[in-house]
Amino acid sequence: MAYADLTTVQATDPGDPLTAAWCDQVRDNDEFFIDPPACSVDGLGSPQSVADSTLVVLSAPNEKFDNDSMHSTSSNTSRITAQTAGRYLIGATVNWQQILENNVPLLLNIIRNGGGAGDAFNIAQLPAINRSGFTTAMSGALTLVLAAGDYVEARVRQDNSLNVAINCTLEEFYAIFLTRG
Amino acid sequence: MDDLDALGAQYREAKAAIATHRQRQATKELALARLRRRLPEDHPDVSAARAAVVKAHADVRWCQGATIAAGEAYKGVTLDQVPHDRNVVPDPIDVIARMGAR
Repeated sequence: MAYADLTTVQATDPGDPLTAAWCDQVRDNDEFFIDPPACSVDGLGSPQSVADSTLVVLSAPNEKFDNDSMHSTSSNTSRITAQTAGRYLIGATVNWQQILENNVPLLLNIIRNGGGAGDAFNIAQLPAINRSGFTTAMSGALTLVLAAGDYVEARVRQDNSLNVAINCTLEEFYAIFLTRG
Repeated sequence: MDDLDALGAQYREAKAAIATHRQRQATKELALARLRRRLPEDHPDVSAARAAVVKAHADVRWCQGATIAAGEAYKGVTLDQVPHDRNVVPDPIDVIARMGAR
């Protein structure tokens, strides 16, 4: 359950007992500290086709954990939504299938609320290398202040000279509450 | 605002309502404690204050159940699935069951 400032439950005055309501909120606050809002999702088993020179938001149909109803498996599965305002650690790992030429630039972004101006963050970028039997994994993370209701998504792009689509799997996408914003 | 946003807002409102109802419960508990200092346990005012505390506590528990139900609705779980999917917090689940998981 949610954290609440204890003085909003009961203003402690000398001579007054501490109420059961106050004690219950202490317990809920302790639970919040040991188990803060955290969500991790993935697209394992569902690689997505990423067309050449196109930004693609990755879906995440599977949940590893979600203790604050931050992710839906039935609607807008690409989103992790902050139900509690604060500063979050947000990161993603993706894995590209073998790429059939060298030096294909790959991008991994985190975007907030659809990724408009000021809301798109490049967290990883590298040139792919063509090696038989090798995929290309990339990871990145950042911290962001999210208001209640703000959502984040993982987005990728690749630019290859063959103009072909490349499959990309979202191995993990997470948001973990760090502090009050 | 799409459906998911609306469900998220509902979940956040339910969570916030827990603290509001806890504040009301604390007020009722303090009133009962003050009455007990000057009146016997069987005094009608004390009995009424005790009943108000019990009601206020039940309201908090109801909000906790509603929060779980709203959170599960956000995640795409229907209300009648909730009592079956979770068996670790019996009281709120009982409340959810009474709310409409028929």
